[in-house]
Amino acid sequence: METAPQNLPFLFAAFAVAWLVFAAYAVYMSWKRQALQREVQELAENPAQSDSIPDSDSDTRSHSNPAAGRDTNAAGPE
Amino acid sequence: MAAINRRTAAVSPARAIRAAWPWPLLLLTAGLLVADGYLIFMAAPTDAVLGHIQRIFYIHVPISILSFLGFFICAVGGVGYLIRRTERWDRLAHAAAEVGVVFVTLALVTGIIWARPVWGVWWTWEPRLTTTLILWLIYAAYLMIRHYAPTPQQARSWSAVVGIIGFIDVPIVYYSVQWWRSIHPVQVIGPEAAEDALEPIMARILIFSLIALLSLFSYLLVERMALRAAEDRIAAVRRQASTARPVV
Repeated sequence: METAPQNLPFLFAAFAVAWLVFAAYAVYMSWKRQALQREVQELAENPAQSDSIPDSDSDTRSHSNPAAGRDTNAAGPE
Repeated sequence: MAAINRRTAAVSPARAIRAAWPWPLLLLTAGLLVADGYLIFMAAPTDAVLGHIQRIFYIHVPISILSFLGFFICAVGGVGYLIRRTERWDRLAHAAAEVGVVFVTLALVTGIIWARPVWGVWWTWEPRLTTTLILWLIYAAYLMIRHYAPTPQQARSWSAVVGIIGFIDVPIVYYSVQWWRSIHPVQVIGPEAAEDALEPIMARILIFSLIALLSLFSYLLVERMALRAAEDRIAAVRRQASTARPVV
């Protein structure tokens, strides 16, 4: 039992890392959700700007290949 | 009229984004995690051999199991996409892979932190750790394919194949402690676990941790799928706006 107190920093580190990563991921998605809402609001207020607004669908297209962005979701949403 | 249609189509996704937020699931998850913390630190007995560091086990094991679940869902979504070629399956596979990578990353990190005081090293190339690292690399590659494939269609198809083939590593990870001599503890949950592998109270707290983290996993998966759907809707609105614009 003498070694148990020495391990407390490791125990704290493991739980801290786990909850910080989970929290960071949840906050990241919340931030992304707000960014999408702002983008949709801008589209609603000024549809003419739709082509000039940066594309948010970065997960399904290449940043390195401009051609990739042209036909994103060509299959179309359901 | 076209402007009105565009406006209507653009407002609808905003409502959809707000409505899709799974806040009841988030509240449930928060409650379960608080209760889980209480059980782990206040109710669970201190291990006679390992001491307090053994409490890492209550998050390390469920996180590992849920990473397997994420990759299983990813493989199912990949099969569904290759058969049906619809966005819904692709969204499911993509979201599950991303959440699975978060979980397997934390499984590796919490395992490394546990190994230092117990084994005396941060990392050793023993079978369980090595196969888990390979699993992490496979699904990190999956996410890179989604990002860097030449076209979105190729990204969907290639990543679906990687997601399906990559799942082969999951049973290898699970059985690695039995197939090869290993210093990693044997399974305490699942088909190969011994019935007396854990004290009853430890087993009950482990199951509660699994339920609490399953709730968190579900929240993150639902949230990620909703975001992906919102991104797809915005892309559709943009396409609609560009096609409705009169040609000068």
